[in-house]
Amino acid sequence: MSVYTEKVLEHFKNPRNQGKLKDYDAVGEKGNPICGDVMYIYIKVKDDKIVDIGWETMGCAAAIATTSMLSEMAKGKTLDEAMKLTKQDVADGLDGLPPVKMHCSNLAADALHEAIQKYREKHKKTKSK
Amino acid sequence: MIYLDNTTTTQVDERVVQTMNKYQTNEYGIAVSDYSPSFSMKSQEVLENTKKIISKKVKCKPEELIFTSGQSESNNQVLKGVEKGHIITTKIEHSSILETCKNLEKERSITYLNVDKEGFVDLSQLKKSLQEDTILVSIQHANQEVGTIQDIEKIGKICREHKVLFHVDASQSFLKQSIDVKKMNIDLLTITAHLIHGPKGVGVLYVRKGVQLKLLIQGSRVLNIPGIAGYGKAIQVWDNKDNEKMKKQKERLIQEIEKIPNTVIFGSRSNSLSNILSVGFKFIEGEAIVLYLDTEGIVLSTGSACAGKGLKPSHVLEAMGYGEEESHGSIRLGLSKYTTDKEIDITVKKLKEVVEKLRKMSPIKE
Repeated sequence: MSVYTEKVLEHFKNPRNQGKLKDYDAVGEKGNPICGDVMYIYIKVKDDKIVDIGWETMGCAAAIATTSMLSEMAKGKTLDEAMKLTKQDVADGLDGLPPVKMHCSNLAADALHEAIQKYREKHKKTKSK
Repeated sequence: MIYLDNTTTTQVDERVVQTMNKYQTNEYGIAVSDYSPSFSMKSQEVLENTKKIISKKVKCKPEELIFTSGQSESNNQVLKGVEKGHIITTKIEHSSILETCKNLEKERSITYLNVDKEGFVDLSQLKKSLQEDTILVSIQHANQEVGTIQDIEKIGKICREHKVLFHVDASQSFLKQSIDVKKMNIDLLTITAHLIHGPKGVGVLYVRKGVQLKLLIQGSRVLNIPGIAGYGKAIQVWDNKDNEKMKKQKERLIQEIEKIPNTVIFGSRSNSLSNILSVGFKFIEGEAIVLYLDTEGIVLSTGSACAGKGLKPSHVLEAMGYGEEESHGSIRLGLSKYTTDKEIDITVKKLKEVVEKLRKMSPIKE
């Protein structure tokens, strides 16, 4: 029996939205290669909505599955809605994660939030010009 | 299924199972004294027979062998059974040595020797670490993760010169490397059955005649007679030709895996067990490799922190000087006599696919 839920394994084997977006508006980067997990989340925004999302992850099955899950949850959402996505939402979406792997879902949500913040900052600057 | 986790445990040989069955359902007696009924005395014959078989392999006397429940018990028995005094061991031992030593630190001083990049014990550090009150040196024959074989004869000589007891954990090397307790000056030796296609939960401790050891378990003990019978059988049916076969398979694995860029082969290339191979792939993580291969029906293990107890990376790779960057993407392949050339080919093919797939997903490319 695996410590992972069916859903984690399913996302791990068939990750959604995987890959770097060719034409993205902002990228959120979390983690570092020394400690292991690294996640990059790329977003494409139109009318304040995430119209496309892509990601790259170095990490274990939980790290890959959480980024995949998060990308599904965030796609189509407004930036405000996406900012409200938490690590718990991602874990719940996967029917749970082993407690020691919760930090993976944390990283994914953090990377998304960073991408949104970067987008907003960039946007503010162009607006104020 | 392709099983390549043979350093963790092995498939029991069918002939061993048959032998064990005989002592489960037909000759199930236990002798409680030398005057037990002949039916029960059959168990005595089993003990004597297996002891004889083992003693021939390690060049000791049958009466110098004690049956245990395996590697962990044999190792615990040594560390907790020797007289008070300083103990020297290494940083790359099995958990049954390291965790027991950690507990013993409350009552005695313990030195953990360093190893070099290939996993060899620092012999000059060993000599320097010997103190007046050193009672025991405990060093494994071959490593469970990278297969590096220590120069036991040299270490034995140092111990004998300093009149210090020498314990060797030969759980991984038994039958794959020759062992001569006399020539190697070994006073205590741990071996186990489940790594040589024998049953789980059976092992032996060799205690050289004259060595004082306080036994942890006292009183008459109901020994695992079927397991001990199976242990003897497993040794009898071992064929040294399989060691040659595994050696060739390991060479083929190395040859193919080295073609994958940014790959590290851990351990010694010249002095390593023929059935153990540890490799690291940069920019990806080992638990993910293992899980992907699992879905392809290939079973092996990893030294990655993500799969470790308490998310700790392999203590062996750490001691060899590898950082998490290298141990993170490490996997361990353990071959056995049942591993076929075709299985090696499939594993190589799938491994290449998985590494490529995970690297494509990874944001770190160099």
